Amino acid sequence: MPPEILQPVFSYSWPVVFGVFALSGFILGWTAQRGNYCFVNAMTSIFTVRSFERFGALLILFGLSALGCGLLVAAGVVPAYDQYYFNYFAGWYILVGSFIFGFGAALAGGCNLSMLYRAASGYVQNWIELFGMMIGTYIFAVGIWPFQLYTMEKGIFSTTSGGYVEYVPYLLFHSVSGTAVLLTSLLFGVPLISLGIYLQRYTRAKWSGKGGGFTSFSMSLNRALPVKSFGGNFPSPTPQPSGGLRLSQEVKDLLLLRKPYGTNLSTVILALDMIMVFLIGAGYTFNYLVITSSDGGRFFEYILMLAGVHLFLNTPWFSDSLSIVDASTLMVVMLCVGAFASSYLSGDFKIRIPREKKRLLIGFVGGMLVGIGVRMALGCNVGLMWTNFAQLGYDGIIFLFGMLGGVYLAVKVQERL
Amino acid sequence: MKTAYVRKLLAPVVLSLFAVGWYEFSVIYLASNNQLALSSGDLAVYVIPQQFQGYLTATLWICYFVVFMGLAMFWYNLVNIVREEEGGRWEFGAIDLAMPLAIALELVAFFYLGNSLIGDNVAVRLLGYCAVLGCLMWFWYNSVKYVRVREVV
Repeated sequence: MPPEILQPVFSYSWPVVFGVFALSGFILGWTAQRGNYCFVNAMTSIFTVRSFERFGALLILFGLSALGCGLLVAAGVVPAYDQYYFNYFAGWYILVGSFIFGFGAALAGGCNLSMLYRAASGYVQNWIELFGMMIGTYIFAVGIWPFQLYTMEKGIFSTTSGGYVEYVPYLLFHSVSGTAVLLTSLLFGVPLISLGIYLQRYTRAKWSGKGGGFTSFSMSLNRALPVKSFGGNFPSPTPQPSGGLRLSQEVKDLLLLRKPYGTNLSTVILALDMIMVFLIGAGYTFNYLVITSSDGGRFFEYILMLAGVHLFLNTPWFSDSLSIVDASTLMVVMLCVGAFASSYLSGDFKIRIPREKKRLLIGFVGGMLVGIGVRMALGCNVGLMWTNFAQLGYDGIIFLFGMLGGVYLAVKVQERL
Repeated sequence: MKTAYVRKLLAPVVLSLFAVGWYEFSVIYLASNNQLALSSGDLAVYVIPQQFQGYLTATLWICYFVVFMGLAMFWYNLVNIVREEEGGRWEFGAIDLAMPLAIALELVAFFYLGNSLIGDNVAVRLLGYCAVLGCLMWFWYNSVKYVRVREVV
């Protein structure tokens, strides 16, 4: 049986560990805001404008994260148990939860990541979504979690443990050796990156062949389609730089926040962010990027603390699954700070109230579904899907398909609203 | 005053206040609730002292950073707004740039020399920190103004 003992790989004090997680949150918020990075919008664009550019970027992100973390383990820099230690259980709840999450997030107008950075950029609809998510988390804790926990304990359509049991190198090779991890990370990384690049090229080729150029075509499509149905944040595929633009000018514009980050630049920065946390947090805590458990449940608990209510004393899930603080707490706070700083310094920050008031209600309902969905799935698009690719697990793959199904349904529902 | 100006000036101040509020919330509420979790035997919620102290220390650093960042943004925008209102024509020299730094250094020296007298008096120390911080903000304001004036010239 592979070892399951968590020991710090490098020696730091706790403030440094918390500080690094806070820094990673800041980078995450800053980059996602500058790149308008949204997992849900990447998926809705497949079903509405048949654009795979941003979805391709997601696949590249997953591939880079799997490859980067896998290579660190294969090279012996980080022990394998630091990669699989926090692998969750897998079961029916991931598929159902991710479906509900995808549906709710597409309705509300943003995934967990974009909800936070847009909320920090002044989008009122995402504030409402965030609040709805808190309520959804409470509904889950009281109404669903006891039943879900029962099925997890009894192994009903569920594994009864996580860790190396869900570690793909172990499943494939019955080993957690460097070679097994190397081969698995290549198995994850190379196809994902290749497919992502292929999808991006395919989309660009398709759009450039439509006449009038890629950008003008995307603009015309944005005008033609019900953009506001998705919170007014519908993605346009990234415009390509003209040949005459010098690289130095490009870099200067990016540094001075005159231009948003391209999709692939954001992807690379986010992947490096994940790898940094994986390396620094190894042996201390959940060494991946995670934002769900904090913003949904913990902050609701914090708000109620001000009123003297202590959910952790008598409420399921809050009492058995959520420590009072952990490194992700500061990650979420600094994600919002990073997104705010980025939007404010670039001049994007503005309090935006949707013209149609029903968008607020839809945002709230969507947020509740997001809260229920992410808790059922044991994580969100970042804390479970993206992270699990870096963990070389298979939960992320289940989540990806479930979320795609939910987003597809939401697109169809939105067309009729 | 234009609403855009109010937004530009208010937002960073709110950010700074949020950082201070978050730290105070952590010290007051989270620490006491952590003890409550321990006394009620809820070890899934309880965070061990070293880790909790690490969180508080990191939060304090972050609080300093965010407050500084917020105030810097505030001053930067104030400079921009004043410049816009005055049509961008200023006369400004290096002496204006050096003055706040000199005063800040004087204050630091004063507090350093008077350390034994001040002791653990938090109120006096807080006053000193505020004064030095104010000078640094003033320096920031002047340096941005200086650059802007040079650009105009």
